[in-house]
Amino acid sequence: MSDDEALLLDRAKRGDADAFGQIVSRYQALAQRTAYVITRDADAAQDVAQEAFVKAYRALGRFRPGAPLRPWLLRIVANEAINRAKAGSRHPTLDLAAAESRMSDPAASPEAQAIASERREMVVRAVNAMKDEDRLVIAYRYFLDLSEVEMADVLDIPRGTVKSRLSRAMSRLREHLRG
Amino acid sequence: MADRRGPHLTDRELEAALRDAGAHVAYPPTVDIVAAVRERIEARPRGFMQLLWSPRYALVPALATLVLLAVATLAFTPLGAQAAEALGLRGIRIFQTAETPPPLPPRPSPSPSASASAPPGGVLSDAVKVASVDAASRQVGFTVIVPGALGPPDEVYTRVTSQDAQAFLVYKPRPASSPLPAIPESPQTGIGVLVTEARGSFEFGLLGKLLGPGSRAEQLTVNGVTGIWIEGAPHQFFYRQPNGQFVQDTLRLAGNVLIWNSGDVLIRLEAQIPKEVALRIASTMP
Repeated sequence: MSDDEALLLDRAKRGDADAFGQIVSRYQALAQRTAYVITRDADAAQDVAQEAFVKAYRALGRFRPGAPLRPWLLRIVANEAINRAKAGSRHPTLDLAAAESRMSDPAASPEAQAIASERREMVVRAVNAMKDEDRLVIAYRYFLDLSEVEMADVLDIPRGTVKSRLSRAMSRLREHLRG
Repeated sequence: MADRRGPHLTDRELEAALRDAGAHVAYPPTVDIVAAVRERIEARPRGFMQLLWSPRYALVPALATLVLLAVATLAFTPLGAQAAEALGLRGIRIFQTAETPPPLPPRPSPSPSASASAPPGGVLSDAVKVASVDAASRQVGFTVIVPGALGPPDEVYTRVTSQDAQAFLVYKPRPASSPLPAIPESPQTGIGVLVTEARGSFEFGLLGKLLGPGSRAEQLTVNGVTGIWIEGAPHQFFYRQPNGQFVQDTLRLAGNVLIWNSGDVLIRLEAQIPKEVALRIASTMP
């Protein structure tokens, strides 16, 4: 955690809403993305992120000094999102952005772009078909780019368990890809 | 040419494909929720328990006393007892504060005419010196445990009231003597090590410690049971007086503290020594 962030956190703990607002500003994009990966619903993701930040503010006193803030916040977001997803009756899916506006390599040949696009769609389809638990570890690691250490914090499990859970999820992803 | 679609991807290719897919997920645009969150947290300020943890309020003695009273009240209920166990050590609560009170002023140099039985540094002025550990055990009503690593204490004190009984083992500073390193003198008291033993409960035991920003608390295992190690800046105690009131205690020593339970006796080992040495001493107090 940077000194600047530690200072904001300290001020927020003292009840400084401005300081907490700056923390929200820093993490709201990641929080909403995380909530979206779990709920796969844009409106729900926004609600979840908002609720999670309010809960985080009320729990600031229990935040361990010196601990990394990001995984702590994400854990609150994820718990809130999981509860919201369980309560919902819909089963939405993650979608890919329009390919033409999101070319990862404009210099690639049309054939290479077509293959990459096909692979991308196949992977997201398989991820959508996975159980929530598997989808979550895959999304944390590869979509949201959390390290295994951060995943251990967010999931509240030992790092070794993160590895084994991720490994099992990847095996099942392959099964889905075989379709 | 190899099939570069999903089922035939290598692990590395599959990971790259996942990262690529993740970068192309149609995440909804981030909505600025700062104002909404602020409105909600300002509409309902943090509650009493949250404020307890807030550095701005945690040093207000009256508030802390009220909280401790509430904690103690809870402790008499089954729910409260469970909560206390969840913290790992019955009878102890630790609160973080923005600042700590100044430690006791340095003790005056001992004068040759000072009474040999005067409590060291004045920190045990509410206690009575007794002749031996056995005598202390009889007075407090439980077997006072002596740390084998330190041997017989230099002085023994007890503090016994109708509702409370504590024993204090006082050790003078000493040079290194295998397997223990040198134990320095507390500048406030002249004591090297102070061991406090009491029935560990909310009613009789030590209740809470206020930790300043320079202090650090760590839960650990002492002789197979959960203990707490606190080091850094001086800490402040709360305890319950015999009349039932919670009051702020003065510091006994401005050193590090190891607290754990041996049966139903709460033991507090205070000295300016590192954790490993404290644990070594504690291991000789089964």
